[in-house]
Amino acid sequence: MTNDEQTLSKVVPFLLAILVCDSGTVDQNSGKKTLVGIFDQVIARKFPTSRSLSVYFKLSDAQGKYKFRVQYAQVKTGKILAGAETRDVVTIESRLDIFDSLISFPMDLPIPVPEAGQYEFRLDANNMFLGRIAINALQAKDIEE
Amino acid sequence: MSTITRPEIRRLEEGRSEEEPSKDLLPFERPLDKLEMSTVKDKIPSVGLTLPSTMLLGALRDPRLRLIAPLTITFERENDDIVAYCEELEEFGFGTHLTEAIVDLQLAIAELYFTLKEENNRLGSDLRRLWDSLCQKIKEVS
Repeated sequence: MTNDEQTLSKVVPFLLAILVCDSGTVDQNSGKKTLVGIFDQVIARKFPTSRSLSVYFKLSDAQGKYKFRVQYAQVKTGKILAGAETRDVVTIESRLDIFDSLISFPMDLPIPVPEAGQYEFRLDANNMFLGRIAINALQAKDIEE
Repeated sequence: MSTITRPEIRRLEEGRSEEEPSKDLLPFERPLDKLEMSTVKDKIPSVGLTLPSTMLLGALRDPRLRLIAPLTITFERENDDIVAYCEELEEFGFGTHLTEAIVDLQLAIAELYFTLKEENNRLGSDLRRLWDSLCQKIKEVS
């Protein structure tokens, strides 16, 4: 365990928002995020399939050092299909600060969608489960009927 | 059930977790924003797991309540159901999958909080201790 990990904050952040979108950009000057194509359904003609997307989250009431982790799981089986965590510790000075981030699953590393059903992104801060956002994968013919 | 053909999506035996994540499934090769997301598989040991043994719960689903400190949750399979158990509050949540069990537990804890709050002047010693534990972990949002 590194020194940073030993001093990770026990303060529980409050999740204000978590969204899935087609893509997003971060303005290099202002740090403002722009989300494009917010969605909660993936419609495919056949499975398995995969999709590139971005996950945005925003939280408050955090103070101290944090490591954030996002896990992508199939709800039905509970199997974690992908995951990512911050390489470096993020320091948030005040509980009054708002922290947000945009995480990209790019085109060359899309998330897998093995079959129709519900999937979710789970957000942890210092191993504390903060919340989730679900997406539903649907077969295209189900929609047409 | 559809047949999974992608090489990185292997079907496992029932009840078995994959130990080694497939590198092809790990996103975030390039960092975005100030967070540098890791793609190194040994840093993401959870990929492939189906059920964690424990978890720290950092949120309740009730907008009136806020967790001051995380609650430790343990998980077990019981037949086809998942049981989420919070030992410090002696509360259970049940569901057909992990999320459902967590949501059920979150609702149970919120219900317990408001029930004990309502009955606060009539609590016995055990429930009084439980109420004190709840107050150390949960605060009401005004």
